[in-house]
Amino acid sequence: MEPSSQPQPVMGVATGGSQAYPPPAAAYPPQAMVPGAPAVVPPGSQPSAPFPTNPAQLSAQHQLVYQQAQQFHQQLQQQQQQQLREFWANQMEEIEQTTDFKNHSLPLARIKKIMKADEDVRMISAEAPVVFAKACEVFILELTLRSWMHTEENKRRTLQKNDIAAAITRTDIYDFLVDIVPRDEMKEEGLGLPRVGLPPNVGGAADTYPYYYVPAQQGPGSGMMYGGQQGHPVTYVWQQPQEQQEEAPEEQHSLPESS
Amino acid sequence: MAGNKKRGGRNMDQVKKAAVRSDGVGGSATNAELPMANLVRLIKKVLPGKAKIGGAAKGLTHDCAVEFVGFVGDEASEKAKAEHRRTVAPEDYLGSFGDLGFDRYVDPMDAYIHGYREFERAGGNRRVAPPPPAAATPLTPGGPTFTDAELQFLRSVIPSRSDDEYSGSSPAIGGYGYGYGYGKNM
Repeated sequence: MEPSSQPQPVMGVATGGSQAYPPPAAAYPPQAMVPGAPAVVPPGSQPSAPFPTNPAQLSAQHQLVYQQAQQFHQQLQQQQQQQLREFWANQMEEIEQTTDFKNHSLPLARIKKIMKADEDVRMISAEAPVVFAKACEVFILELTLRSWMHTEENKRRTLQKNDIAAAITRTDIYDFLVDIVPRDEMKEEGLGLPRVGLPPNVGGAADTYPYYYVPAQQGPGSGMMYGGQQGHPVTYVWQQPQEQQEEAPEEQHSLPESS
Repeated sequence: MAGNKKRGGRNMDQVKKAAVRSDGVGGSATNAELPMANLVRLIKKVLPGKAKIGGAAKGLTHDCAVEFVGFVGDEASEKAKAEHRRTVAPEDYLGSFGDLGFDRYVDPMDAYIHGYREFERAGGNRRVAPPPPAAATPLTPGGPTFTDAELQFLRSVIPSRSDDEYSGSSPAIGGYGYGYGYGKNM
């Protein structure tokens, strides 16, 4: 582990006891955090200006909770960045090895219909739905992976609507989806309230991490990644083998789906 | 991001369309523009085996995917219009991915379209017979699996210029959608 914690603001730690449950950090304005992988902090570095109190001045107990929360947060962020890197490496490898361009996970006619739904859309080349069927597939996979990270943080096994809302909130390039998410889901995500009991190995400080949205800030991870609100989740490393010959039978437009 | 701000009005229109389309039920299966079964299969590919997917999550993922196609497609259409081209080309979509912040999509999609064009040049749609599927469609044994409804839809949306080409390749009825693309390759 790092010899000293990265100096990042922790809402509520300085104001509450180490054992008591601190209130939501409504009093503090959102702070911009370092995007992508956490920066290496040299030993003996001083905290950044936005932090209200020097960690050296905190009591030993507060400092211990602070360090634990920071380390946990950094570990989780690194794990999630690694999952995304592996996802994209796998996608590139799968695409370069593709030899079957006839079977698509999503039917081309449906993609084309969506592409032409906008009256402004002009004639599209016949290759366009082929590209978009693949792009749409990758989009669904990445959105699902980012959403599942939120599911794991909350120690659940069921992907829920608010997990997708969380992924949209955390990822800059998903800005265009904000209007689609129901408002109640966004409110739930914005409050950053815990959804399960306090994890014993991290302490109450972890619950004081609200989810920040930092508009227009770019990072190597293609968006901001926040986490660490709950205890150590079971990290799922995305290494499932990709099926090249995914069967996707065509279906009638009017065929009702039951799921 | 300027690209995102430009899409604000369109997004609201899309939301209204979604409301009308599904009678207030987001992602309703009976009104889905993408088949829900295909979508769920994709979602499960990236989740661990023990994961479950809530019904509302399926619907929201579907709506996000439809919005993604419209969002990028709209940008690509404007690109073609700005260059006074009547047809939106795959390169317009590749450029749009970059302009809208989907930088990671550019290289994979570029590789995919190149692979597809090589596939076309090799005559993959017409001469190479793929292994017959478990349930081969009677119309096209061993060929692509367009249904009658899909073929009818494709005929109605493809520009009239390609109808002649289609007539010329009537024996390969199953490969209609790809035959058009074959003629367009440069």
